[in-house]
Amino acid sequence: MNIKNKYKALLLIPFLSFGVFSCKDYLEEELVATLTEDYYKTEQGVEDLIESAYEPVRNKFQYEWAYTLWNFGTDEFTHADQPTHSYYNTYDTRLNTNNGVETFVHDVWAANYAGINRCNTGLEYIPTVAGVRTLTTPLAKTQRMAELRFLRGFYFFQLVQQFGMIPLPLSSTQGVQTEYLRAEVPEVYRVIMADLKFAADNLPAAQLQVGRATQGAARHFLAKAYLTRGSAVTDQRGQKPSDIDSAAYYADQVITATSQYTLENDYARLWDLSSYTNGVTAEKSKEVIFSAQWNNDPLLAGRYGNQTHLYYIMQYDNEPGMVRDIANGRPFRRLMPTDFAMDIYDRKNDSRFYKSFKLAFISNNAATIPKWTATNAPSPDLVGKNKFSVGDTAIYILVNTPQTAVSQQKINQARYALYPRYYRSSTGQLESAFASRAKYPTLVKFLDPFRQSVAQQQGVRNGILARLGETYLIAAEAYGRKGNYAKALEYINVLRQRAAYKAGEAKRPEYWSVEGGQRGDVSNTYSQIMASEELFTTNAASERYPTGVTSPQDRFIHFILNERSRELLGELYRWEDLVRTETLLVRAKAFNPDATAIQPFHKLRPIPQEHLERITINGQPLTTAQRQEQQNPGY
Amino acid sequence: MKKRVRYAQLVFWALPLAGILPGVVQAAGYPVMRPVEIKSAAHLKTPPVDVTVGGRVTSDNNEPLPGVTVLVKGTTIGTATDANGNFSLTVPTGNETLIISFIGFTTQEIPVNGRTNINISLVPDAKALEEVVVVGYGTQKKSDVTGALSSVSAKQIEQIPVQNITQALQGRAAGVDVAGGNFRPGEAPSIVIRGNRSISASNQPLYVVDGIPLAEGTGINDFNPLDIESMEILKDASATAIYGSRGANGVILITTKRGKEGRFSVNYDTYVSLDRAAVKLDLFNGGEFAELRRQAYRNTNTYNRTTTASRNSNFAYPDPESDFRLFSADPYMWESVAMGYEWVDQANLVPRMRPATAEEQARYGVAELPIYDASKVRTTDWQDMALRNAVTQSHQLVMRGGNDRIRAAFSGGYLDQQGIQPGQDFKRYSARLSLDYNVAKFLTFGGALNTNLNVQNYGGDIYGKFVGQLPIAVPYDNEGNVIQLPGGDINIYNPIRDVDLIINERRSTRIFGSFYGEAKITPNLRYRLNFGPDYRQFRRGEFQGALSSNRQGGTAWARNEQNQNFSYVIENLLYYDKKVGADHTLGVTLLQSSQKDRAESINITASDFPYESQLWYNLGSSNRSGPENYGSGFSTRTLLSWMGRVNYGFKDRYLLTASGRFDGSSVLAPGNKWDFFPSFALAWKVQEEPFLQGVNFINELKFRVGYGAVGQSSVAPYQTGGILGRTPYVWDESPAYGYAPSGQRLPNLRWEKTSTLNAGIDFGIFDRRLSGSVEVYQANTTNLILPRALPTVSGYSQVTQNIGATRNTGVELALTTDNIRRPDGLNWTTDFIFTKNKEEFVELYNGPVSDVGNRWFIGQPLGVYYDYKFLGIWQTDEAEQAKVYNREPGDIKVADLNNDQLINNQDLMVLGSNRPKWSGSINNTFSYKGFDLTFLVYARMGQLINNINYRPGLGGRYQGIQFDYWTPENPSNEFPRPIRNLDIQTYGSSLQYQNGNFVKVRNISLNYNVPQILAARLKASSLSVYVNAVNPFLFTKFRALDPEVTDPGTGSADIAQARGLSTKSLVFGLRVGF
Repeated sequence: MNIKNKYKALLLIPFLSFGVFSCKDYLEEELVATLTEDYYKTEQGVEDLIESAYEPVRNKFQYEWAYTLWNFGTDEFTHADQPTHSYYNTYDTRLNTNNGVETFVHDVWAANYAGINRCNTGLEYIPTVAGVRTLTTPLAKTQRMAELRFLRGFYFFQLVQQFGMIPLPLSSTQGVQTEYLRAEVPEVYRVIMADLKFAADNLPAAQLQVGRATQGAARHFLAKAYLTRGSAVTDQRGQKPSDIDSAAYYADQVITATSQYTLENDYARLWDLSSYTNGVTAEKSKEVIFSAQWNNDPLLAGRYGNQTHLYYIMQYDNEPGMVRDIANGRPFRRLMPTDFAMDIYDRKNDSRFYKSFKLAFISNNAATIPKWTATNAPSPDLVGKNKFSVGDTAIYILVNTPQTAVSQQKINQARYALYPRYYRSSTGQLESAFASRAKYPTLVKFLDPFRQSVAQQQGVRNGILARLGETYLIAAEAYGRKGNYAKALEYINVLRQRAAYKAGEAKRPEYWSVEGGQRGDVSNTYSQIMASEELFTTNAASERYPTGVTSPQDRFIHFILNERSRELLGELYRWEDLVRTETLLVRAKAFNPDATAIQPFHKLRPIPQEHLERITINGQPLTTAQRQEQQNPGY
Repeated sequence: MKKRVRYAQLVFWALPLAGILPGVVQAAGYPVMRPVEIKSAAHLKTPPVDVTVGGRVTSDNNEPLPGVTVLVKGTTIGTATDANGNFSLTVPTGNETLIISFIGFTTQEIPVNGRTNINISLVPDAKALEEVVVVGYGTQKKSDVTGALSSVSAKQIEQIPVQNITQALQGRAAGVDVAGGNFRPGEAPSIVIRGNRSISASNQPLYVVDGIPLAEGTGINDFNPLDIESMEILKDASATAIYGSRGANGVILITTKRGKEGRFSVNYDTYVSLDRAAVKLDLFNGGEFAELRRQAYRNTNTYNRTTTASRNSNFAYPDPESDFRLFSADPYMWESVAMGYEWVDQANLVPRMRPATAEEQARYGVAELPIYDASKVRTTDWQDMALRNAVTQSHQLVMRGGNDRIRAAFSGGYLDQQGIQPGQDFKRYSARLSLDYNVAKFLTFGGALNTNLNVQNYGGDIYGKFVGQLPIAVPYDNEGNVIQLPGGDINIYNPIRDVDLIINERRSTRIFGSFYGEAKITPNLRYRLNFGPDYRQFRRGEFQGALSSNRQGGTAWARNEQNQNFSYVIENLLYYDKKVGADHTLGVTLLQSSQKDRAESINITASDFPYESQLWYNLGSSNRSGPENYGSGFSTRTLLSWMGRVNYGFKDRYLLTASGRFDGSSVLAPGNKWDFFPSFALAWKVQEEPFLQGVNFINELKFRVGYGAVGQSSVAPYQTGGILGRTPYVWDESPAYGYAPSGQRLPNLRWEKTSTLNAGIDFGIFDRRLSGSVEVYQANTTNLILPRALPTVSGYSQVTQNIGATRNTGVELALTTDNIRRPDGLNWTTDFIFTKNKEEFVELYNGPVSDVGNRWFIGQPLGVYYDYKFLGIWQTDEAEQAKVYNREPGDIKVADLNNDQLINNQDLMVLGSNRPKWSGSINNTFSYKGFDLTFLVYARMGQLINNINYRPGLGGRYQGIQFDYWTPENPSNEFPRPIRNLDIQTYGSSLQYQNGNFVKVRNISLNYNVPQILAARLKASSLSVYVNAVNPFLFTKFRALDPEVTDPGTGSADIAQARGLSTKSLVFGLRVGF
């Protein structure tokens, strides 16, 4: 290189320094907008992890699995005319074969296990965290750990009831794990009991933040878990003779903690939809023990919100004088009550029936109000005039009996669209307007008039997972199973007292218009519905015992199931209750007109195909035979 | 009415023709450009005698050559020929020697010898065939290339007017598969070079524009295809390995038009394109749809009257009372159906009757039938309403020129493309400036700056929604009001207002620069610095009016999303070239490169606005207390590289290229960030061997073999540390956001690696009448970055891991035949391109074991269709057999693979994939006396398409393609019987997989180069006009629109239905140069 070239080369120095960076720093990732697991080493991180562990309790209410897994195929409800997933109701071959294709069951499976991993992770991080604000004392840490044990127990309980044998991970997932064989059901229950027991022993009676798990919630679920395990007769759940005593004991503890929990005076107050504020008050009712929490902020709704409001509504929006609106909801028409659900009530004196169902729709659309015609007008001067105005009844669903069937003519001449459960056609045949499955009583419990738009699917109301009304029934069942019917009836009659119309209470109009009562009667109806031992010591017609249910012990189980329906109709416990009491087969066959294909193996759901495809045994994917082993029988 | 439409169409087609003329006048504007005279009197050494020498320069076939440089030897006196090839210049003595030079021709030296008129005929330079191609970090003589590459020239790009660069590559290069994802204006098709190899990481190639590698995922849609001088596609790893971690999917090198030494020139290109839907769906008409619905009811025994005694009969013929029940949800729908009947009293549903024929009596058991004519049922052609004849226009102006010190080019472009669906369009404004400046003999600086603004009206899924409307429903009532729910079905909302009420406008600005400085340190050693900044701003504004079909009378909804990206690349390069002795040539390239991408985003979604005209520009006006959603994001990623390459040639016969590159990436796990990617390639130019010297029919014969490794790291930043996701929850009424583990720690995440072995032959024989190349290759990808599905028991649904391997094996053939080469100027050449690639999994985490959970199968391509196999429809005589499977005649029959009399997940099988077995194209060019006729035929064979249109609504509720459904009288084996309330029948998805073979005439173009003599009258140096039919013919059995869309998606029916909507166009264009 000559001098000149050296001189030229000097020119390059600034360029080179422009281009070259220190390798190490240049490739380092600096976290700005992203959080990694290191966050859990802080107190705030752990608190946020615990909050995230609550989120999957919403899962039950988030999507169509809410009713398909918890209410379809039972005695209470059957599918309406929009038959999405109706095979969960009919148990036809699609249920047995579609598990490979649909991801439905897997969604529920995955959500619960996501919750479990959050709990496991939190249980490992909490002891290591140095608390400065909330986790400063061992007590505070224990309480938070108790919340996580409560949630973990809750998730396992939910899973075991649907799937039977399940994998049982008890520590956080580190690295890639694919070896997940199933644990025996008794083993799963042992973990559930241990978790819920720890929670019941260590949770505070009340939490600063409404919605966190409390001691009462833990005791309620512990009682329910004991009852579930102890109910098994032919099923192997690891049942012990003491289970029923434990169930009674923990249920009693919740019931007697009256400062924390009391029944609403009026059943209807539980579903108060008169305003958002009243709805929120109802959600915080002292009867509610634990619920999945939502509010009307769309940012907090999650992907789904609470979608249960969609499923029970009948088709009202195609009727004259009606248009779909927020107050009446989106009629997805998935579920309609069975005859059993309508007839198990003393509809006249037990206010719970009419307080559970919406039967009238009020006209909200002046544009489509129908006019009287010459053929149907009650008097000629009305011809051409509107049948009704906005604000009047546009549709009425009449829950009558064959004896009180109305005539076709009466339907034709009604001012509003009248859909009776029973009517006589022009040829005198007994028909039902419910046969179309588009018109039927609409369950009010999940309605949600507080969404922001008609189309919005994300509901804003809480989903109740445990309320004191059920605790009473758990206690009653436990005592009844022990043969202490008197004590059982004591609890049942507390609920019946609440169910009866109170003295001075204005009764539902159906009391006199349908049920044959006196208009203006404001007397207490409790004496009419007070429960007595005859209801199950004899084959009481009102209880509609299925054939073969003859002993008082058996009748008591069916009686308590009837009472659970009367109190908890549609509240998404039913499928589990029937499986728990090993009555699914007999009751679905007896009371669900569509569940004809049900077989014994249907007491368990199929293990999700995705799970079977992804797990390994000794690092190898499962062979067909191994897969079948890990699958529930029949699928 | 029909006549009027036809007339309107004529006017429509004629209008744009008229529109061209003003365009021409405007754009031409007659800029008068004179040849630059390079004179410098200061250099005159002898006293001037001033002899004027003139003459004409022509090519060997006597065509005048404009722009030829005429220089007086040893001086700087010179000129260039004008449009007629004439030149004139003044020389000092008349005894000088002229140097006549022109690109592509042999330079001649002609002594003046006192002559004043010299006519010169230039002969084409044989060495011009020695095309120079761009390779990674440099250029090479094409004959010296050792790797596998394809070139596409500006001329080929111009042949088919395209809106983006990717389209221009379709059918142009072997091994390059270009498939339209959809044909929305402003959307670019996807491009895959030699098959897919990666599952999670991108399979998009690396784009290098003027030497600057573009940031990942940015694409080249922002660049104007007419700005491109040439494209080279590097396919095998020995060619791409110098791009190391970025080259795994092939590299597309784009060279843009730059200023040239020589005369200043102006070129103007324009075209007007008239676009229409290339294929439409065959949908049910009104009568057919009404019958479908009846049949769906009949099959569930519900097609009967409700109020009469005959309640249990199930009319097999159209019955007015039953029809009323089925079709009266919307009075206008009933009116359409009622038109099929003759009425005695329509109000009371009393039809006119006719006696039944004997056959009908036997079949229906009635003596009289209502008079009904299905063809009289009213049909609304919704599909027609969702389409329009669209107009696209493009204007491009390029000015360039330069001298030995400065070369510059400027171009401006404007593209205005209307979509064939109303509410969709795309506008691109682009401007480009490039400058090269020789500061000193040893120093050159230069750069190019691309700027553009794209405005894409993405629009709604107009077509998909319209074709979903019922043909018996009408959009407007008699008063002209919009019927919200035509047909009275709550799920079928009238989309007629969507064109105005659903707006999705994407506005992007990009400023991309490529700057360099180059210094010659010694005659053999060069240093070059590249700097490529790239700034991108993107805004997506979405608005859905309250009355749009998305909001259905709720509240209006809007979103404003902004993304800002800045990337830069800095490269330091050293080149050393040396010839040692007569036989050895050596070239060494050294590179250091660093690259950084920075991204920032913000978005707000709100709803319920007091006035809708705000669109997304005043989200704060929401009547709500706050937005529905909001967020912002930030990320950076960096890449650092060191590379070295050696090119060695021996006797110009044996060529060796070897390279190695170290790459480090920020997104990979610490400790695994760096890796080394080597390559080498050998070529043997057999024709240079002495033993072939006498063999005249071989012009070129070259064998190549190469091996190289490249990497891939396209995982999102920040994944390796175990990321958390936010979860929403509520305590009472207050927020209770949590943070849950959402991705596991990935301490072992490393580079995905592809090593390719490629062998090729380049040949030219019989005076190059037949030339081409053949490539065979095998690319093995290992350490696949896989999003492996996990058992969700773990709390995670997937994890990113390096596991498994894929292999792509293929053959590529590119052949050019010179069929006719006649002295009178008639030429016919044909280009054949054939590509066959096999893509397969070789290994997964358990070795060669398929992973059904992820739908990954050893020996099968990535992303196969795995479902039940459709066998046909259960026929009446198979009732017994059908019963075994709980099916009835008319239901779908699928294969029971294991014959266990049960259809379950063990009967699922791999049906195929959307990867073609082979694809190919044939391009013919005829030229004669200024006319060029070309046509390009393109074929893709052997792919399966998953299309939701093939799973029509069989519940009688929704409109669908006019499928041949099963009835006892019509024992179709294609589609099942309609069943009310069962839109998706059991195993319905098995209908969706259809053969997508097609042959397409992509283009027929006729180009006329106006003779220069005529052009010169317009003071133009070149002028050509063309007419071009794009996608005029499609041959396929596929019925759900264009099979070129291989993955229409199955998510939303609306989107899926709209996806395959392709366009065909008639293009009129003009190119003029001054």
